[in-house]
Amino acid sequence: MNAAYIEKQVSQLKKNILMQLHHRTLLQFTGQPVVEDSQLLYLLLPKINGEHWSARHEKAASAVAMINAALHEHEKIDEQDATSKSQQLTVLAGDYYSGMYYTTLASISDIPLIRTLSEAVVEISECKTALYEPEKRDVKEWFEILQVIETKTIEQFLKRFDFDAYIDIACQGLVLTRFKHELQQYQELHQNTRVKRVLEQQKEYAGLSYEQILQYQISDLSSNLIRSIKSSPFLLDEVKTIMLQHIESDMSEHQTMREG
Amino acid sequence: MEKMKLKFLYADLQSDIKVIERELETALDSSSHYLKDASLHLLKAGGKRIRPVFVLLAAKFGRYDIHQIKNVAVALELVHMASLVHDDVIDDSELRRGRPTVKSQWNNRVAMYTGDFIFAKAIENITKIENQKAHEILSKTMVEICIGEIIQIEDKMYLEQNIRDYFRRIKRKTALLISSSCYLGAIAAGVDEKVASHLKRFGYYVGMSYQIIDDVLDLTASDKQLGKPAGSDLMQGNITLPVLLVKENADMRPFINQALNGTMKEDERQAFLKKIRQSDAIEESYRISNLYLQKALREVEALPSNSVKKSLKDIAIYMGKRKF
Repeated sequence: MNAAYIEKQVSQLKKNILMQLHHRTLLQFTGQPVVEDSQLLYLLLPKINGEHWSARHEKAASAVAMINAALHEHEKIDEQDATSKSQQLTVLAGDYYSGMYYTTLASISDIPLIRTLSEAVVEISECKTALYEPEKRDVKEWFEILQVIETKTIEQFLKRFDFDAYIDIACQGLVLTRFKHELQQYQELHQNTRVKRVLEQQKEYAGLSYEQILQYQISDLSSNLIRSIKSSPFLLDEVKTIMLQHIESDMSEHQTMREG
Repeated sequence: MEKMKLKFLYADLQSDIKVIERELETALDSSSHYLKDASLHLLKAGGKRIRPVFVLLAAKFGRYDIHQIKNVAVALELVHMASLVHDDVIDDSELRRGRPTVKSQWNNRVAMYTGDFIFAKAIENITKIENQKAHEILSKTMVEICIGEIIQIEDKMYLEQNIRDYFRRIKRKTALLISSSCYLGAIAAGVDEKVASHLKRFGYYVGMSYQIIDDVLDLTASDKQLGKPAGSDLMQGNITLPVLLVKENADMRPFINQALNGTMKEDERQAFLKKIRQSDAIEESYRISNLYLQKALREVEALPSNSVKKSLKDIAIYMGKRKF
């Protein structure tokens, strides 16, 4: 096994999902559904690590990626003005991908997973709405909220198939990816996002810029993830090596950017 | 008033409808104040609860157990509610049932989360029914409704569409969810496939008839009755049956073009409404709606003798004949 093997697994699953979600009009006006490689990696991690994996697992993993793609579409909706044709179709793209996730799980009659994923969507919607509510929360609570948003569906998938041992690593990895993405977006677009406003208000971060807050979190999360991977008794050595190489190369890239 | 009439038609179900109302409220409970307020805000605004009623009536042809069947009824109403919340974002609507929409009271993003929350609650509810077929039906219905809405956006402003396009659109927009309500009620109560298919077709025909009437009323009812300007469908670019029937009329075409390109003034809107109300298009639309209604009634006739047959008939007639 090598990094190319993992990439192939991820890209194959992604290709299948995109094929199932394909809709001519949606593609034209809203683009491809967002199916993130990092999410697919953590969904596939048990398979890559040699766990029993059937067509049922593959379909269920696809369904999880579909519901995440659905929720992602609705994040593209402008808070004030969604009257353009592409925004209107983006609303429907989310609903369509959501229907496709349900259809996929109904076809394999996985009613328990349908239930737990629905519960996850309920919780995620509550957490996303919390970003708009006036209640004061401390940093720990905000990080719990962000973790639910980023990880809940994948956590439910791993639980459903008794891959509980992978949950901790997947959660850390997914939150790390989100912060990296947030940093990259901020550096490129300087957007004043809800997450930015929430984190900047925390007294723990007084005097730090948003970029510094994110960089601090990225370093911290990366170190924790490396520690978790190294100390995981269930991960094959070759899987550990590939994952660590990936994180460390990302970290050194991140370090170079900070110094640059 | 109209809602009162409808409630009278299913008076025998009142206690079970109360169970559904309580379940809907419980289902929409949330740790998020915004989501809870937004969802309950919509719930309290009322609605005819047509879909739950059809679920219950269809289930009466099988092993009727309100504690089981309520899960299907609640799910169907929640799917309908969620789609309304998202539709208000798409249509940029400020009011729904006389109240501010979720998007206008909060914002589009909160409306998206509210819709997602309600959709998820709908699915969560129906998972209490351990029947693969029920899930296949509901999930396919949700996808088809979405495809219908996508087609509606594609067809907007497109005057060269034909009546078949219109029927295909309203089938997905309205008829499918009513049809699935009947079918799912039957499936969940263990009704045999032949009877379940009659109920499914009944729901489809009622839905078609209902939507045609809805589209006619958009042109014939008063602004006050509608809670929005009459003719709004056309002004938003939605081409409905009466408009398709008059679009080749040289007197009407200039008005239609004005409405579609957004240049119609108030006096022109009034003149357009007067003309179309006097045209054969309204009569012809009623006639087509009535054809669907008659088909629905034939499906009822084919059902086994049962005390709810009359209710199904009465509700179908009410929906197909309503004046507002």
